[in-house]
Amino acid sequence: MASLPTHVWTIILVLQDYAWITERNNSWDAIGVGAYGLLIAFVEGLFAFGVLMLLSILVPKLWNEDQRVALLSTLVVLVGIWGIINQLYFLSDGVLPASLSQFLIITSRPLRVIYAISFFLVATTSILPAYFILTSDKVLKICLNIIERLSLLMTLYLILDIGGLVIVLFRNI
Amino acid sequence: MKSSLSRREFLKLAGLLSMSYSIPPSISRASVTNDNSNGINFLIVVFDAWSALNISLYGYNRRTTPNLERLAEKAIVYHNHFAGGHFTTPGTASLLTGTTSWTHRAFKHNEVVNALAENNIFNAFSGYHRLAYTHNPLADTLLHQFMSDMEEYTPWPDQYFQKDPLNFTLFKNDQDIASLGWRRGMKRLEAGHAYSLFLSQIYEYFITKKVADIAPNFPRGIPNYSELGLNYFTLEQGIDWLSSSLNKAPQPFLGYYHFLPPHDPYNTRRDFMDNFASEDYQLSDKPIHLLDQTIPDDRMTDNHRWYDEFILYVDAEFARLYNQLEQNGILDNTWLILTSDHGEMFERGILGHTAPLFHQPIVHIPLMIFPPGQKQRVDIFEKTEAIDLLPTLLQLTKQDIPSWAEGVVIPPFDRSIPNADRDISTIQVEKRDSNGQIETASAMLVRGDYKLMWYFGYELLENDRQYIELYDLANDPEEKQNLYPSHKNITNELLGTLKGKLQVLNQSYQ
Repeated sequence: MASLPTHVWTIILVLQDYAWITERNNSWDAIGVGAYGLLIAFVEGLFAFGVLMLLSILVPKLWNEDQRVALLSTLVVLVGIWGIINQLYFLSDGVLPASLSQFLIITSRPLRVIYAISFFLVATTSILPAYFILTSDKVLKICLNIIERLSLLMTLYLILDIGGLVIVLFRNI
Repeated sequence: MKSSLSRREFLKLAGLLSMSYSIPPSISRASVTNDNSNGINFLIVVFDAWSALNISLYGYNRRTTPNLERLAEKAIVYHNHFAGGHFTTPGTASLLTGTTSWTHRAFKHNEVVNALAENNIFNAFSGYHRLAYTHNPLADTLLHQFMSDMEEYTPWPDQYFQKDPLNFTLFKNDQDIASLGWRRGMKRLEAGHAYSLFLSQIYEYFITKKVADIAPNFPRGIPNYSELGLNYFTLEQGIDWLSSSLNKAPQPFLGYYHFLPPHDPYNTRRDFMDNFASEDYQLSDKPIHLLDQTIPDDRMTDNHRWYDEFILYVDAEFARLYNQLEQNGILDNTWLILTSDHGEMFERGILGHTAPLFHQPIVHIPLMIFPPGQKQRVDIFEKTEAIDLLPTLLQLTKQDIPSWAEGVVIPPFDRSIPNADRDISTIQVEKRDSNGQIETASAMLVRGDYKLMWYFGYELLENDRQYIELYDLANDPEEKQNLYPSHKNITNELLGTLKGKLQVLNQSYQ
């Protein structure tokens, strides 16, 4: 699960970059850039997994294995989603929705308001799922089901990573 | 073609003859000896994306080059020098190979020249100690191709603070794409988004920390190669390194040093920042081009000013280089050549030099030659082009000019009558079809006072996807009045020449 967000984001951007790199060089080079990107995504997945392993030491043993797996997996996906949202802001040329801009103008301290809103959003999206995973068997079951299905998707990403590695090796022979 | 000498040409010739008296003795010495190891060195200094139209030495109304104006008193100043292409790859390839883009065919990023690898300026100066360096990875692709003809080749990351070592050790056979992959994967700063969600932020933190000491000197950002992001350098470091390299270099030498400024991003040094901010300067009002990038006026105006302020940095650092070389005696026996690979554009809705256009801001570049011992300024108004440098330098050392060199020996060094009707042309091929035939391209031809630009195959173009511009450079130097189709005869004549060249080029792809 640790490499899910980073792989999804890498593949989206690789597809987005394909056209301009093909125009700049050629399609083989565009595939090459994607291959290097997948290798970075693989390493980042390992990195995120390492951080998760360390975090798992801090998670109380009071919770059972399923709860711990579901909790940490959900949190890492959420952190990834927030990372993607952060970059999406730049992809949209850093323009806030007009209504939000208007609201910030009305408040006399826009920066503090932005931080407060961000904190509220991140906290809510982290604490609420965690709470429900730990208190509701139904949510836990749904969560574990999703994780199981996504694990299959991870296998596909692993195949893509191997493909990326082969391409990089081929380009550097 | 005119068959007789016109009054205008006669006057130009007369001017050139009188100028010959101002040529320093060292040139005469070079022209009478047949020895190419007579202790005369050549140093070519290229500043990337430097348009002559933004240089006050050439009449630009912002004083961007006070130092060059002073140094020009000891130089030959070329007022109508043309680049070989609209961006680094074709422009530098023309300069280094002495061939036009019709021949070298280096049209895309990182393409190597299509001519024989030994047809280059380094090979032509085989008796010399040959050194080369460029900040620009695209130019580096070409230098890399000619590496076997050099004694000292320095890879482009060498003068950057951040070298991305993995790319240049682990992936050295695929440097460009590895660098691009690394940039897109790990460098979020410039584009705001990278493939990596977490590692990119950690990487950025460390790189930014590494250059924290220099950052205050460059409030707009430390100079860098924008395509790769987070790859910082300073011109000061490059100039000092060049100067010390030449001190140690065996003589005679041929040095080619290609620095990135004033290429974008226009991150000038603190002392030049906002130097032109108080000026009420209006961009020239020119028609929006069909291939325009729709750059808003305010962005265009700001970038134009930042570019001019970046040129102040180039001007100051070139003067510092000149002083260093003068002080350590290198200029006593070194011909210093200052030029660029292409220009930069701030008009017609287009910013920069990536659009395949050949308007004057893009193709009109500086050329100054500082002969050793020169005491007087010489101004040359004849049309010259990047491909002329190779035969001219060979002529100065009385070496044979190879048959593959397409340029000519330029005034005041040639003794023949300058050809006023000399064609200057280039092409940029954007796309070829499955049979290899050119599908999308821009081409330029300058003959006499007329300049024709022909674009075909672009999706943006209507009317059979073709567009033609014809300008009279003598009467309309700003290229405001497109004379096509009112001047059908001259258009057809120039277009016929371009089509003939295109046919030959297409045949070479078959």
